[in-house]
Amino acid sequence: MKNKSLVLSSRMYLFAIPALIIYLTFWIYPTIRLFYYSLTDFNGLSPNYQFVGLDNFRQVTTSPMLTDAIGNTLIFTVLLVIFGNFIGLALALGLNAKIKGMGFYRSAAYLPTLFSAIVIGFMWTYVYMPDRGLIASLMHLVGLDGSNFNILGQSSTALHGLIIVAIWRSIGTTTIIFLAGLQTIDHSLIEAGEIDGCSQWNLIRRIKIPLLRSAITINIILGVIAGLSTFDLPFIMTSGGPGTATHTLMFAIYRLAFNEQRFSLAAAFSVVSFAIIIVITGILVLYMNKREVEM
Amino acid sequence: MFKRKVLFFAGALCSLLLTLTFLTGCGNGDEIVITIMASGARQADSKVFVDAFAQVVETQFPHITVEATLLPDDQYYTTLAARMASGEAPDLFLVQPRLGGGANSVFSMAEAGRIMALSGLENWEHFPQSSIDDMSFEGRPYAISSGVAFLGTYYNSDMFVEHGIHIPQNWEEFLTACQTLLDAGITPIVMGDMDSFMIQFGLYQIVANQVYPINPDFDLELYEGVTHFTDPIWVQAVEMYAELYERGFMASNTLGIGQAQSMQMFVDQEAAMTFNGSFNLEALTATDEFEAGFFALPANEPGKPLFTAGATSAGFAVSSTTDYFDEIIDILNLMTDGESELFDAWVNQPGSISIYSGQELQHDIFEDVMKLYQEGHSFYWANQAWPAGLNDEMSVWFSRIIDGQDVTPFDVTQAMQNHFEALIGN
Repeated sequence: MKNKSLVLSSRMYLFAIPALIIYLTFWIYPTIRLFYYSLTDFNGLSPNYQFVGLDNFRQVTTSPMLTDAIGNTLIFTVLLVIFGNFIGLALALGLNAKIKGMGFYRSAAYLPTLFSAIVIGFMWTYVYMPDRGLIASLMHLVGLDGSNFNILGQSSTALHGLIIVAIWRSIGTTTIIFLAGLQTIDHSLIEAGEIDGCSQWNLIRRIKIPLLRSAITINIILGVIAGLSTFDLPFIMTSGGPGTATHTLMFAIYRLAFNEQRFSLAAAFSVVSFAIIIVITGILVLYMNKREVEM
Repeated sequence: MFKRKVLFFAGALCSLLLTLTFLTGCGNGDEIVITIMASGARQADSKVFVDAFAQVVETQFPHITVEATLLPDDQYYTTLAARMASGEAPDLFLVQPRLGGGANSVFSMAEAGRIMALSGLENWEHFPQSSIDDMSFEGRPYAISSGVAFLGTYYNSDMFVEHGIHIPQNWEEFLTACQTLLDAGITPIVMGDMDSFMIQFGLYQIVANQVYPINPDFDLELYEGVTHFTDPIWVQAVEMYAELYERGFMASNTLGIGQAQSMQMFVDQEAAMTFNGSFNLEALTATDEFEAGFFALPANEPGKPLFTAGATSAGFAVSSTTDYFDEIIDILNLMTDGESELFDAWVNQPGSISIYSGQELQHDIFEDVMKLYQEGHSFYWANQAWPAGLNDEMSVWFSRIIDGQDVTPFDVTQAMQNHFEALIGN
């Protein structure tokens, strides 16, 4: 007797085959190859490479490059998520008000998201430029000494300089997600709160933020993924420097693969990074989902 | 009925695909496409070589279509490495001499069997042996370069004249010149160390005077474990470069300035000098406000000869996966014949200093360094003998000195030695 599904004919699964083939070819196969290369001494050029077991992983885990990169990446991610969400939420609350010209303000808030990383990186290097940049010029204008303003040129501040740019770039998306969440809140709840004498702060704290849980979850997850996979800004703006002050996980992988021609070591680094990102994202998703269910 | 319709459409689709395949294959069998890839940037007022190459080749060889790609330096290295790894290398592409430039060095490519020997070219006798050697691996030439490139010191000659400074001939005179400028309220040197590769521009000039004249085989002996970066001559070279920062001769906050910004500052006369290469001639002399000059950084002691850091420029190599080796050899023979339009386009690239026999020096600004080069007072750029990535480690550690961290020149050389050993697998 044939097993016939009441929902979907088994023949319909055939239609998933093209997508499955593409997925297997362009995602699963390269990932498996990456794992394979991590066990060899492949340099990206020579077809004659040897199997070296776990040597690359031994090198990666004992290298200061990994600890530097993990440290920088985590700081970058945490600050991006915290400040990005706070500023995004504040902007969304402001942009949700009924004032004249709101369409313009909303467009303006979203504008930075439309620029490519190259444009943003190039622009901000001039904003940050010591003595002659936008910030230094403004400092001169108000009588401060802008000649020593050198945020990207000092290892103690370079990473923070990049984080500010990353927040500026992502704030549009974060704000839009919060704004969409705010607009789904039933207005009768706000009115009820107002009738009960809630202050504006309590309305935000007791009604709006709890009802924005889903938006907060999305923004945090997106922020964490963006932070952990950061490559473009350190590459464009600081070349990972000064020293290794802005080496992120992805930048370190790039440096190993393309600057040092150690593809197999870069592959091992990628595998370790992959594991770290999966673990962090997995824990976060589980935690956030649990919190949402509890609500 | 439905099945018939499906079969009909499937059959029609197959027929269409077969017809298209057939028609595509029926083109003129002699017509070929040659791909060429190079690094560089398009300038508004001059034609880049790959475009000229495509135009001339398509005119001279009507059956050849050229697909030319020009990429910025960083993107070029990445793209080439990725295309190599995937077996999709362009037919012709730029490689760096010796081990320079990492993955796209002629040694790495030839050793991996990625490029083909060019022994069969007709015009090798017009090139100096040093240039051929720089592009050879195991005695056979694998790439062909049109010229030489120098690292040097661009200077504002008006400022020098105004403050009575003559071109310095040794390290002491150079430091005195810097001090004179500083005392006059002028920033002596500007660098864009945020692009950390710029650290190499000054340091390699010092190494050409402090390391190689004492031991020309220093790098060869590095691989044998006889010499080390921690040897006093290399430490001394790093100390000398660090001294320029310690004594305030460099512009402040160079780690917050990129190469483009530093070049603009030089052009805007905010500093009297900058270390850079002959390859950036156009950008650094793009002004009528002052006359710019170029000299080899005199890192020599008084009474000792001055050496310049001159290196064979990047040259074209032929991919081992090309199907058109014979056609490409014909093109390369035309490109090196000394008289064709293609030859002119090749040797007259912006910033290029031709070493082809009988060619006159096009840029007077390089007269002094060219003289040193021709007299044999020249050494290659240090990284051309190093494994890929060692220059990055050097820049990372030296930038810590600039940043004011507790790092000494010896620490820089120690880090270089450690990294060198890791890279060569010791």
